[in-house]
Amino acid sequence: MTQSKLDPRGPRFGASITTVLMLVVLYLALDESTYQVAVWLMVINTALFAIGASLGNFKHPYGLIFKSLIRPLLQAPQALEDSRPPKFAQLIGFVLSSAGLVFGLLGPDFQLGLIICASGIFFAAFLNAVFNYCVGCQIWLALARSNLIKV
Amino acid sequence: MPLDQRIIFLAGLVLIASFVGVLLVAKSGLARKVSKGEQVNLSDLGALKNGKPVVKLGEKLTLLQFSSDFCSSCKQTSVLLESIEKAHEGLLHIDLDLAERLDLAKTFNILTTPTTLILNSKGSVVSRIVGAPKLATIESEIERLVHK
Repeated sequence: MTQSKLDPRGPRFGASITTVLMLVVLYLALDESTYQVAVWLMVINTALFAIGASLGNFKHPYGLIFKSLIRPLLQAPQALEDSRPPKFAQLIGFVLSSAGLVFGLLGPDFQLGLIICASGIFFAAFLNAVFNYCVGCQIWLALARSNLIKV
Repeated sequence: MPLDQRIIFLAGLVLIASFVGVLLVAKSGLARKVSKGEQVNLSDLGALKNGKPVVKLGEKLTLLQFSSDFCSSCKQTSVLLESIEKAHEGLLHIDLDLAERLDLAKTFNILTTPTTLILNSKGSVVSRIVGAPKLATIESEIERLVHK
């Protein structure tokens, strides 16, 4: 199987945008007058995770922005990274974002569900962006050991 | 919810995430001494190195790394441990993919990747490192275990 390699700063750049986006979603979801806008942002966020989880970082809009606008301003990376870990992290994000979206679409009565999911995405994205924390390293094994994913 | 309460909620979330991040970074990659470690049998591992089965432990120590394809720091750890192996005589680095041997995660109680077990020449676990280790951590463990 051919393993594509990518600049590890690309996924971290994407995680930074997701961090800010989730803060905006949470801010809007906490008030009934702006709740619908938060739900629309979750639609966009879920679609973005779907692209990342299915097509990988190379075709993800954040990846494309990084490649065309940010990468030319930076020095060459010290090492390239396997594209599979960030793709797996996008899948986790997609699952969580989809759940948040479902709660959002069910209406303001399910506000707590949306807030919990958006907070979860915020946490993972923030830890990845700021601390280079590898979500896949923690979650994959836990899911595999509990037979939630097939190995 | 009033504006100031929303701001407090978001600020609290950022603060908690920052605290958790600092804690995780501080904890990750630390070596923990194991006094009565499990005995590792090479034939049970079925490990390969450069495409060939590993039949002999390192003369002094073996760095047994557990990885997965979905972990970006596993590759970095593998590169680091490989370079340490080359720099020290009697050291062997083995990298095992848990996707192929999930049973080993249960056997050695591995909850996260990378996890590195340091084995003595007889195959007993003498040290355990959870997370991506730093060069200095491994070097000081080698110093402690080989020159004790």
